[in-house]
Amino acid sequence: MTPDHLIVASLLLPVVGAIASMAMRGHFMPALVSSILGFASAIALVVVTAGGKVFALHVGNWPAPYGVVMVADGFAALMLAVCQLILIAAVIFSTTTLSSRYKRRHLFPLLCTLGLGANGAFLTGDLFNLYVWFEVLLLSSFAIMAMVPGKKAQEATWRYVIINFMASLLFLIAAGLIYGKTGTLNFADLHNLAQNSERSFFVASSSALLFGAFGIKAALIPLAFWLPKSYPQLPPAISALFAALLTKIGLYALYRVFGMVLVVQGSFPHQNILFYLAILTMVGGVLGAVAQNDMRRILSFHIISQVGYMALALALYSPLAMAAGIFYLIHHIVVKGNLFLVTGLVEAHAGTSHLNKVSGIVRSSPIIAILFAVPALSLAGVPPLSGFFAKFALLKASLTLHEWAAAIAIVSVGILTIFSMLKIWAAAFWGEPQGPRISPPAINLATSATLALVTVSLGVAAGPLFELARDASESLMNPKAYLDAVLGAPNPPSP
Amino acid sequence: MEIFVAITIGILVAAGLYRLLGGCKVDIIIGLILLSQAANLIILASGGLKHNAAALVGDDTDLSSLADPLPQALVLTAIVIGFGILAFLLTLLIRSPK
Repeated sequence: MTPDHLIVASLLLPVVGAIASMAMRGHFMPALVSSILGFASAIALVVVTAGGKVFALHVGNWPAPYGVVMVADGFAALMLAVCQLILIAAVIFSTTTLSSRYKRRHLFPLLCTLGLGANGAFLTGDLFNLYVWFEVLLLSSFAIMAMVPGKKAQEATWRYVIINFMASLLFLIAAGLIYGKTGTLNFADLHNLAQNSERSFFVASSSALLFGAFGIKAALIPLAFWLPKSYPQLPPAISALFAALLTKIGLYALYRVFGMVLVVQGSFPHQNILFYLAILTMVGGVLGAVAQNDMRRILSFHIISQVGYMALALALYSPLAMAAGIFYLIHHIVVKGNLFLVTGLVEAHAGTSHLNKVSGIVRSSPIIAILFAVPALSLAGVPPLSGFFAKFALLKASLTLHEWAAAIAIVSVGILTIFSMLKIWAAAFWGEPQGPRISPPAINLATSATLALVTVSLGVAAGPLFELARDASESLMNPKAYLDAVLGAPNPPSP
Repeated sequence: MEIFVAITIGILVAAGLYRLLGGCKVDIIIGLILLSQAANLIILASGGLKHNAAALVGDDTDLSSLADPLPQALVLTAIVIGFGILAFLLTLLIRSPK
């Protein structure tokens, strides 16, 4: 297995899984197997890219600026691994919690193609390809969302489709304009051309459109109001996947394009705007969460507030801040996915997740209470869980740069996060249990417990993971290895 | 040549946005169609517009007399994707509760 094989495997496994699952009338097994194998190949990619190595696959052996390239660097490999992990959890949860009517309608093939779009977006090395992979991902998510029964869910789907279509149009126009000005769409080539000061002005002006497109997908306030209107309508197994994956792919695109491709002499276009929007997103998201009374809605607003943290790391753009941002992305995907899954457990257990109607889960099911407490405390940033190290590194980075506003926002938003987690805890978990209680399937408890264990071990093993994040941020901020791998000579064609 | 395309794009965007803000679902879909056509035209124009020029024919022709083939390939992909999403939106419209 060479790295090239691993890159191909990451793209081929979901395709095979989707086709096999369709051939077996939407059976879950191919989806599960392909996501587990995908996770294994992603871990192998993390291992081979450790230490800042970059591998480029020149599709069809066309030399770089002309052909399509798929590139695996540390950042892409880490994102691949953690997304496949959450995909496995979502597949397991879908098999046990969703009604059979929902499952029969091609849910598992669509989960596979969603994973395909995500993997492609992480690995791609050019701007137009990124657009195409985004569409693969989005169309799968549209179809999954449209299958949710009920009038409210239909309205939510409608909103979600339109806002994402608009974002895609902005992305498409930006790609067209950037091609018109530079004559290339390849990330590495674009990075080199952007260093030329005459061109960099034009690239910066069209990148405003890219900023808008990624801002909508990543849910930065003021572009985030579609999110709390659509995610709470989804069943927990699906919302866990969407919450963990979709906004983070928008953030990944921001990191890749603004944090690497468009960087000229240590800064990128719209960095100041990103800085203020990030703080606004952190504060606005958490204040929105405090005002809600339903677990799903509270958690949806927390996605927005956490996106602010990761965008802030990008806006600070120091080596420590970028490493903290990448660490934060990985921590956040695991924790946020798990919190939505635990909401699913609560709903299966007590019938609802509305805070006025559910209470006393600590007495009726201590296991669910523990499973909630671990990711909730990690989200709020309590040591020794992973969220603490992510927030701590980000705080340290902002203090070293003397960005006092950012530091104050990081701490105060963290406190408000604890407050809204306590609100869930006090209302749903304390008190006397009322109404009938059903214990959820053991496999779901085990899945959620595994993700909780991952959170704990990300905290305990924060050192090695932080090293990986540092390598990944180094390869973004100083992309020499990336440029060499992409623009160097492709492998000679085999006879 | 470019100026006419630019004006057409402007009209398409204006009309598309006006429809998009109309509020009713059919209006929104019409608006999105117009906007996606505008995006396609932008990509096509980004390679530079040439009258009656073929893309890459022969080996010894003067490069400046040829049309850029890449935007044409991109715009084809964009049309297909836009059409797919449009079909999906129409299905949603038909299925949505009255």
